[in-house]
Amino acid sequence: MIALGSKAQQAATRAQQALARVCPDLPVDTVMRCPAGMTAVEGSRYLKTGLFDWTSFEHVAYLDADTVVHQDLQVGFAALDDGFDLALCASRNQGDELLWHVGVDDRRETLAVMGCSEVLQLQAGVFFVARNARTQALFAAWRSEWARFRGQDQGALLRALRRVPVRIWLLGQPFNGGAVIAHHFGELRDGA
Amino acid sequence: MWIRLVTRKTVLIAGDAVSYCPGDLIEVGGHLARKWIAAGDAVEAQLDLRAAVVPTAGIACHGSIDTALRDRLARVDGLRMSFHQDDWPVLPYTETLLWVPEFEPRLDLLVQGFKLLQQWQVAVPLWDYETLAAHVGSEEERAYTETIVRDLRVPLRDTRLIFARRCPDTRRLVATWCEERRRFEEGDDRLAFLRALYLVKPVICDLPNSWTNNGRKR
Repeated sequence: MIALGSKAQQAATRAQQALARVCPDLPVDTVMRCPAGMTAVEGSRYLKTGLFDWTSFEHVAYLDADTVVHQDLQVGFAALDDGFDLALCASRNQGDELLWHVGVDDRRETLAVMGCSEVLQLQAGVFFVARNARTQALFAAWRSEWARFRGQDQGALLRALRRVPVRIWLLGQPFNGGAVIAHHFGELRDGA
Repeated sequence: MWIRLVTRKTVLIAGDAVSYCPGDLIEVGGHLARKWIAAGDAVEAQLDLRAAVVPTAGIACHGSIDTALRDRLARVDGLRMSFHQDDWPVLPYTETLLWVPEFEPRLDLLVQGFKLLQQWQVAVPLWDYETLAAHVGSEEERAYTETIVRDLRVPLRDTRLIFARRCPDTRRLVATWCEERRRFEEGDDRLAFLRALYLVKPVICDLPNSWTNNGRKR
């Protein structure tokens, strides 16, 4: 979990308390120090795309600080045990809302790189990932793609996946904004 | 004439009223197209059907298609097609589009789909964004599927439009999918494919359901 700034730290405390109730034996790493020279928004994306640098877990569930876990997360870890590299949900923003929240240049570049005008946006606020050579290459690509625009990370994730495709298992909306993991989207944005 | 809709429209296709949404790309007669463009309901779409289809690619079609659609596909340069009934699914080409022609095809995405296979082994659209494996199929098939995929709260793929690069993994995917289709009489093909995906784990590019024109029937 990444919690940069007081608002995010409050949300992360709530998230950790919920997680402790549902998955009491699951160890949690939380980063609260912003990388030097970055805003909290930049720092959180920088840290997320460098996940393997600050956690030693072999199988990781990444949760945005504004999530609240209500049910056991074993299903996500089981997909990794069974051989998938990454398990996550599709975004609710598709079609006309595809990548609406990233910058114009970021969006344009993503569609150009994908070579495809209609792509599936993935939600990168909750995911399960296995540490292996493929995912380490993917995250290195994600970091470098994010660094091109230094904004949101979802366009960068799609571009990274094109560079380094991995074995993905898609989870349903209950796992990100639903019964298993609630997600208070936008709660930590400036002005929210 | 190909146009991209700006407003919602209904078009009669083979006697059926088919509704289209803003953003949809459709082919209509020249008179109607010009009328809608003049009214601001659509814009002309420049669709280059001569865009190079990957020379080793082709469409494997499950069942037959009507003459009008066949004529339309014939305008795509270099496109190879084969028709199949009981021997399904199959991978007759190096890059195969497995297509069950129950919806209006998106010719504008055909070349893009084949090109995705340069990176991915499989590219397939989601059925939709709400339906989960828990919502479809018989109780018996759902229970069996859960033993494979562990949790049924996962999205389904639209098995009527699958791009696949022929390789050991996709051969195994197709073989496994065939086995899983046979496992339940009157089974749900989407659950069979889901089980095959989980068992084989190809490198997949999931696509939005706009690739099937949101699943609208032809």
